[in-house]
Amino acid sequence: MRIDLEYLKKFVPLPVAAPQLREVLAQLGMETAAFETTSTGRRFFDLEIFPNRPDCLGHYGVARELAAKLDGAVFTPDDTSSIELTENRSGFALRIENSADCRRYCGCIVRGVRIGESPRAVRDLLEAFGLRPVNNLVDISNIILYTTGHPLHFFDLARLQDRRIDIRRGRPGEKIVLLDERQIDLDERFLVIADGKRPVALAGIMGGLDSGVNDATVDLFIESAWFDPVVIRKAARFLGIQSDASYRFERGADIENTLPSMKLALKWIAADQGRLDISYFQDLYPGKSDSVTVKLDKDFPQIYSGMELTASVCENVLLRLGFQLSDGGDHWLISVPTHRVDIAIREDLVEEIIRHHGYDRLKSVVPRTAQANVRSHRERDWMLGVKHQLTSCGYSEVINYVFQAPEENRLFSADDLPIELKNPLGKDFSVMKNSLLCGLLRNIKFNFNEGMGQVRVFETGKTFFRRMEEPAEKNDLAIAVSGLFPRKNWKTDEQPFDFFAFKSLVSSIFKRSHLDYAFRKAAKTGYDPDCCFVIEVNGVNGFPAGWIGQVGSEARDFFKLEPAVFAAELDVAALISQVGENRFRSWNRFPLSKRDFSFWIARTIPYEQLRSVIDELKPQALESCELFDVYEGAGSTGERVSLSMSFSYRGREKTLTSEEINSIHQDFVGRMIRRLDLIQR
Amino acid sequence: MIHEWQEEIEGAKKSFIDELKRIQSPENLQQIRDHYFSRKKGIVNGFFDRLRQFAPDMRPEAGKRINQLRDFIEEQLLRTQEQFSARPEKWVDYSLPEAEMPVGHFHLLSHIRRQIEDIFLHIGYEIADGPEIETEYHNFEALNIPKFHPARDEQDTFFLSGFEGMILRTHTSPVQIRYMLTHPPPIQIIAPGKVFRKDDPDATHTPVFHQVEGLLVDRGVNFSHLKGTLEQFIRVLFGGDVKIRFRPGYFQFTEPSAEVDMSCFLCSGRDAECKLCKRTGWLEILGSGMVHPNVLRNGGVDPRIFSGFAFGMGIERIAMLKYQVPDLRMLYENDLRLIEQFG
Repeated sequence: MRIDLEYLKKFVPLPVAAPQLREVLAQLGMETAAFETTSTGRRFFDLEIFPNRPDCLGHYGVARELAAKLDGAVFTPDDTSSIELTENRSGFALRIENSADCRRYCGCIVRGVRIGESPRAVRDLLEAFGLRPVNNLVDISNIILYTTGHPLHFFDLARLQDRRIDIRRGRPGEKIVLLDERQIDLDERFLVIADGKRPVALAGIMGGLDSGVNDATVDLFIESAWFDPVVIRKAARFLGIQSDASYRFERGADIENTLPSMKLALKWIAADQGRLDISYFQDLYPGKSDSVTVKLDKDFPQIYSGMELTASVCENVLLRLGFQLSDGGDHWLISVPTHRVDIAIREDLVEEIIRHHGYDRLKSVVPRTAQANVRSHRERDWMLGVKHQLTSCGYSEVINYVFQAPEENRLFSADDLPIELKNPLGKDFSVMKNSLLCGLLRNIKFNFNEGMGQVRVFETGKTFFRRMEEPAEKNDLAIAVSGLFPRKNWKTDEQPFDFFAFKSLVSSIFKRSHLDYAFRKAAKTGYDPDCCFVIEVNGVNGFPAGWIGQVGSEARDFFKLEPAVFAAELDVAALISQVGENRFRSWNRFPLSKRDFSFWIARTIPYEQLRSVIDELKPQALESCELFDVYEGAGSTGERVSLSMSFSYRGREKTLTSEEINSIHQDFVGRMIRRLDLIQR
Repeated sequence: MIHEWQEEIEGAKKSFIDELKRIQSPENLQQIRDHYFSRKKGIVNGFFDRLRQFAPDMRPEAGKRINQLRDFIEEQLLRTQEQFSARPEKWVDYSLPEAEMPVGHFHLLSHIRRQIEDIFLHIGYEIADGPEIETEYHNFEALNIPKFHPARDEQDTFFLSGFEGMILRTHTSPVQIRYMLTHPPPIQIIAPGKVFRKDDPDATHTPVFHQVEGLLVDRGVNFSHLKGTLEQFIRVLFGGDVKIRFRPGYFQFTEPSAEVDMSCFLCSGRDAECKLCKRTGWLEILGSGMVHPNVLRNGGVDPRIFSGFAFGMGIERIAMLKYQVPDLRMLYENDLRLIEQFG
């Protein structure tokens, strides 16, 4: 909203220079986006006006605020007492279909106008407002708009058919071509201004192309009305139109500003034309209502703000702002002026009081509230612990957008029915992520392109899916690594990052949380079929908590990633649900004995299966076992591979003798040989 | 004369001790041995050669001093020799560069978020959470932003396709409603998280960004409590003696509302050319206000008994101000060269 400094001074004396004025305006809540000078040397402020202050969308409103704030300043609107309007309904008809849509409509007819260019001073003023001069009459309506803040509309009387105006809803089949030459198909959602035959304007938004003032106009019909904010906004939003008029009507026009604005327009016309011939005037006001009244306890402003606000300070501010106060002893009944459409409750009045008394007078007091919500933040603590663990292992945290391309969603879920955005920024950002991995793969690619030899990243965030046909979300942790590690140095040659190292990293998360875990061979879209495991925690056939494996070729090709990428996805809530508190457990102090066993095993039997057979057959005294060699060389038939394992035994209740251990070990090994058809080496 | 002789011998002993300290290999040891005992130039033998300068009655005393020096050096050399022989065969240069051990870092945004959380946890706040896919009701209506209200223009919203009334939350404020509906006052929470607005990415906008919401509801809470709390918070986060100021603000869900500025921590308002505060001396840091009675009611809280304040800040904004990140898009590029600088 542009305010011309000289023009503003017509309505309020300004005892301060421009920089201080800017400061005062800021204190009142009107920030100056720009303070500039036009080509003809007019200085103007471009003010940011809050959406709840349509009254400040004109010079009058800003002048009123300044007058209330600055000592000794009084707001003086233009004197329009020279314009006398008397009801004269002859020769024209006005009708409001529904007074909820249009609570007030003032119309008048001015005869015999001359159309031409506005004088220089008017054109200069319009430039300061940021408007383009059109002709003397349209220019006047714009001057009034920026003066009183109220939108007027001027019709060419000759083009209004049947000498009547109806304010009514549009009808199916009706059309209107607007001033900007857009054709609109109308229906009952739109409020229109119609003559006897057709709509001639979209009420409060824009006039029609063929009913406006033009070079041939002789007689004017002037409209100054109040339209319902929601009706105007719905239509303007639907059409994607924002006009100076709709901007004000949808924020709430001042119903008592209709007639004064019309009078001011008539005064300007009289001055411009040197004459004024009014043949018709009517003020239809079916929606007149009592002014808004708010009860305010006198001590409430002080209690609510914590500022020292005596009753006289409050009274002073409110009276200067145009509120009417009736004293009720411990409270006031406050009647709100019609231009303050934002004031409805006592808290609104507190804001007015401290705004004018000065936000800078507010004290700082640290509240002494009860420590209401002291509780543990288990999930946060766990997550922070894991993040520390990952960063200590060289993994860095990344943060990506939550939406991605539909084909990215399909990379990790073949039958994905994505949650789509209705109005995405573009197709590449049109679906909500079902996995964090695509983001990580993109980050790896990005950093490879920037010359990184290895990239280790992780992300925590939401993934989205459908549950019972409703959108749902869960917290995931995804980890990915690719590239060379270690890189070539004086000690070692470079080698690609190894899956088994990645496995131990992911395992360390479970170990740290004292969770039993197992990686079971499985299949999942997006992973390499040979290297994909479901992670189960807490026992055999335990709780599925995520996936680990090598990213499959399709996803790698999609991101043009050459080297192998290892990745894991964990369901954070599922994992945390399994984390428990441990109690002290004593440990066995009898001595430990180890026995080694080397054997040939069929290649078709994966280690995972061997381990589960060991778990199944293991004698009570077997405490742990360890694979220490894998051999595929001489003696291998091609169908078998040799494994060497070390088994650790410990008696539960006594020290086992060497013979006892030998016997337990032989028996155990014998059963393994029979079960898995092993050949002892 | 014997006195000067003694001093000379002591000097030789001292320089021997110094040389011994510096030796690093058995080869060095042999060099020292030669230095002191070689037939022609050895220092000890040099002393013996000079014995003739003494009168015969003084020679035994002078000779005794040399013998003491010789015994000392021999003993020390022998001991050092033994130490070397006890060392392993292969000598290692421990000054070679360290083996590679990568170190990871928190993302700057999560680093800042953690700092903010820690400050509020210390003063008794709870961290609350809410969904990123929200209902229009929780995001707008419940926060006193009716349908077709102009305030909705300021937050361009992502809508879900096929799910009527579901959107991506445009701010963390709906957590206020969700929390109040499930917890009676007193309430003291912050709610950090991602929020979404349909803005094309540029240096100061990203369609996904992070906010931290704060809410305190209790009996007798007033506007100066808000200022006191925020002042405390901002001083801890930015350190030192930053000041804050309140300006009138506008949010549908607070009344009165305040924009909060902090004094420029770079120039404290003293640098007329400061690029950070653009010469104003102040930095806009967050929005806040007293919770609107309609919002309390929508949260099931009786505004006749309780009052509260709320505030909201952008984590990206703090990254720009405190850490001088010049372009918000960089925070979502995930270039490790940026991430490794922080957290």
